[in-house]
This record gives sequence, C-alpha cells and structure tokens, in this order.
Amino acid sequence: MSVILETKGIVYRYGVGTPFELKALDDVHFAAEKGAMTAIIGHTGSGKSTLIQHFNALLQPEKGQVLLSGEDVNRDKETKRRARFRVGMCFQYPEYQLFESTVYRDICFGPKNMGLSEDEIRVRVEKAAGFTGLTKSMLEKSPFDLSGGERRRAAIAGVMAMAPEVLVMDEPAAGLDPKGRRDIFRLIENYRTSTGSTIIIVSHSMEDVAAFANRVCVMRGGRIVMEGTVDEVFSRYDELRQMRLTVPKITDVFHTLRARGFAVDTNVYTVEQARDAVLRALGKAGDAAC
Amino acid sequence: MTDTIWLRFDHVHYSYPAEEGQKAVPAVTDVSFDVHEGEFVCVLGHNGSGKSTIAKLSNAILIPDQGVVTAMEIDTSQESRELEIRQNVGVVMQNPDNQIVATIVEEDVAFGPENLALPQKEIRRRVDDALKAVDLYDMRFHEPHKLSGGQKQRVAIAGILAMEPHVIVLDEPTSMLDPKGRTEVLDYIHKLNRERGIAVVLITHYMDEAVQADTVYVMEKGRIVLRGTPEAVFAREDVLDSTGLELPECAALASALRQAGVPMPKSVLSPEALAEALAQVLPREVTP
Repeated sequence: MSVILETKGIVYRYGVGTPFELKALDDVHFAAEKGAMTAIIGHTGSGKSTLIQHFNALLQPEKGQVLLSGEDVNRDKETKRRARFRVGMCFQYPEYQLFESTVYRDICFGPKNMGLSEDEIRVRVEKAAGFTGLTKSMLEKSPFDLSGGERRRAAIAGVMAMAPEVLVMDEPAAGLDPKGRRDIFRLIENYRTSTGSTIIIVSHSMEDVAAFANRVCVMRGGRIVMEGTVDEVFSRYDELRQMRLTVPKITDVFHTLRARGFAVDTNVYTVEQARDAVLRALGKAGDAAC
Repeated sequence: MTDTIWLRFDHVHYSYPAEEGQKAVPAVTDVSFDVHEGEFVCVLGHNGSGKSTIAKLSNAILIPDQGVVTAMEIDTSQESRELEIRQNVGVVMQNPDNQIVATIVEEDVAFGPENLALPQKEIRRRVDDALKAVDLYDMRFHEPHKLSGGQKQRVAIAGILAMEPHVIVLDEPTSMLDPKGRTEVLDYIHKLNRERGIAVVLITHYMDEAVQADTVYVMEKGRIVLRGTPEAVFAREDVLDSTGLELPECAALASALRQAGVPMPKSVLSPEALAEALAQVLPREVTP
C-alpha cells in the first residue's frame, strides 16, 4: 500500500509568547495509507485535533512538513487551496455547521465552491445522499426539520459531495445512540470500500475502532507513541492501561482470565471474536474460522 | 429505598405544540412511574424516544397535557409553586456549555441559591458544600470555560446540589464527554445517591450506565415498554432489539455464547460477572 498523506516531524505550539504557551505537537511523524481507515486515539488534549487540522493546511507547522501525495501542502497558496479540496474535514458535531434553507442546498455548498457545473453538482449531491441514506424528501426539507441523526448524516454528505481523496472525521458518532453510532460507522466503511477513499478518524470509542479501523495510531502529550494494526496496538495492553487508555471491555475480561490461568486468546476486541475465542477454547467448532 | 414517593408520573401525556397546518406528534404517551426516596432510576431509550421530555416534565419546565406529575407531593401544574418544585427536583442537561451562566466556578454554583434569596452565610455554606461534594472546591476560582467537559458537568451538578434537592434528573449527562469524563461524572452521581440519599433519575442511551440502577425503564416512541431491575430488563432481548438499544458488550457476548450452546447465567451484565461466568466453563491451561 502507498502512503497518501504524511507528516514529517511537525511541531506546533499554541499561544507562543504568552504564559499559556503549549506545545500541542512535538515531532509528529504520521502516515495514512491510501484507501485504508486509520484511527487516531488518545486522551483529550493529546494533540489529535491539532494534528488533523494540519492535514488540509488549516494550521501550519512551525517545523516539519505535511505531504499530500508527496507534495508539501504549505508550499504556496495554490497547494493550500488544493489541499482543502483533496482533504475533506468533518469536525465534531458537524450538524452545527448546517446553514442553508434546504438540505440539498447545504450539500451543494462545497461542490459549488469548487466551481463545478450544475449537472456535476447534482450528480455529486445524489451520490452523497445515497451514501448517507438521505431520501429525496429529506433533501427538500430544511436541515432544522431533521432529527439529530439525520442532521449529522446531512453534514457528512456535504463533505462527501466534494469527493475528497482523504476524508478526515473527528468523532463522527459522538453523542449518537448505539444504533446511530453503528449506522454512521457502517456508512463510512461502505463509502470507503465503494469509492476507495482514504479515511482518517478520531475516536474515543475503542469498540468502534476495533471493529472498523485498519490501522491505529495512539497519541500522547503531542506525540505518536504507538502505531500499527488493531491487533498490534491493542496487544500492547499493559502500556495502554498505563496510559489510562481504555481497551474494549471484552478485551479486559480476556486478559483477566488469561492472568488467572485460563487457556484463552487475549487478542479479542469484538463480541464475535470473543465468542469464537471461547468456542475454540472449548473445542467447539462453531462458525469460528481460525 | 423506602415506600415514600419523591417523584411521580401518573398517566402522563405530552405533545409539543405543532406548527400551523401540522399535526402534533405525541412525545410522551401514558407514562407512569414512581421514584422513591433515595432510589436510583435509569430511563433508557434511543434518540427521539421521549427521554428528554421526561426530564423537562419532571420539574415543571413542561406541564403534562393529560395526567399529573407530582414532585414531593406538589402537582407541577401549580404555577405558583414552581420555585418549590425546582428546589426539590433539579435537572442537569446534556451539553455542559449550555447550562453554565457565570464566569467563575463558585459564582455559577451560587446562581441557584442566590435566586432563592438566601442569607449570604447560607449561600456560602451551600456553595462550599456542593463544590466539595464533586471535588471542585480547589477549583472554585477557575473560569468554567477552561475546564474539561467532565469538570464542567460536575460544576453543573454542583449548581443543582446547592439547591439541596431531593431528586436530581440527569438528561444524557455523559453523551458529550470523553471516556474519562464519563466515568468521572458517573462516579459522582453514584456517590451522591449513596452518601447523600439523593434520588437520581439518569436518562441515557448507554445500557451499561443502567447496570447499577435500582430500577430501569426502557422507552420507545414515547411509551415505557419495559420496567424492572437491570437483570430482568436486560434478559428481555426480544423487546430490547426492537428499540434500537444495544446490550452492553459483556451481556451481548453472554447471549451469543448461550445461543451457541455454552451455559451462561442470565445475569451477566458487568465485566466482572462475565469473567466469573467464563471461569466456570473454560478449561485451565495445562502448563501455566
């Protein structure tokens, strides 16, 4: 797999020269593989949001580079502008940014700014609506007449309509109920596999990360301290615990059992994996494929 | 928990006023439940099930169209007693940023008691006591907007505590918080219930927050569709499935294993219970 977006040793400080100066990013080397879903996890204040704002040149690093397909996004005005279209940003609670009179017009906003033709825009909107499960009648409504979950999907559609090569999402499922969370993650996964887009996601939910991410990147104190597949990162259980990062609750249980001397795998992160691990340990075939 | 009832919903119906030309959609339909002295109640439901309307009905922010809500035996439709009702039943909302009014933590907590026109000394006592209860006394001179989400939510809880209510209703108090903030807020809610005997109505869509409640009510389309102890409610997977709620992961695993023919007790809700149940069935490692 090739790398589409990477940061090379970037440093960023807030409030430089004030008593509140804070080093938010400290020599960060991050890489996102083309077409994969990479999750960034870490506590509040670990630098996640600061990092993602570098991906489309909303923030410029003091030191280091941000490369998009090998090109420095901060080189000049033109590369910055291109990065804004190639890297789509979906911030936390994106529904607060809906502003147009209809959902359709709101989704149009991004593509319009790209200077696309009316016809092309219509195609884009319909496609984005399809991915996010917005019906024709919803598109004609005012965004404020939709439910919370529908508004969230409308806002996501607005970013998808720009057809960015990299879609960056900060806590896309925050504040939704469990079914809403799953629906959002499924639609993102479906979007990724059908369009081949690269997804970067910031999430606090280890359960969702375990179920959907291809790669995981752990931040702490403005640095990336772990990076790898779900398995590679979550298997460093003791280190994660020391950082007071949670692992899926199920994983906790299996580590406890293992410590008590039971013959059971500890690399289980989802309910299905856990069920299969127990069935394997009991010598029952079940539908466990191992 | 005793027989004394602190908050009662008696066949309550409520619809939000419809816009012109549109039909009013009922938000709450025929809801009845009691909150007893010192009880920990959890109301579960997905977004749009009518949970938040329950919070607003509980202290006269909304008045039922039909039926009666009584807070400490006062009918909430008695407008003249609104202040008394709100002293008895306090509500904490979802978004901490929407309920902080002052620029200093202790001034925010003092807002309620000041409006009760209490003597200065009494306000001081209540503010200090409330801040100590949520361990924010040392941060009393801080600016609320610089606190973490969990801390802000604790300021909001302290603001309600300073009213010395009998019942605290919390409407999804953790859904905008990170995992650390969530644990922090839940711990304090349980502590207040345990140590101060404050009755709690925790409204949430996280089923794992309901595990430790005395009584759980599940809402769907404005009605209560299940009620009982957490064990009894979580055993009704048939009903829960249709409500869009998800079993806590540990309970979901126990259920999946039961379906695969592995004996699992019905009451597996917490990680501890799951570990215990699995310990009963798993083989020991031969070579440790």
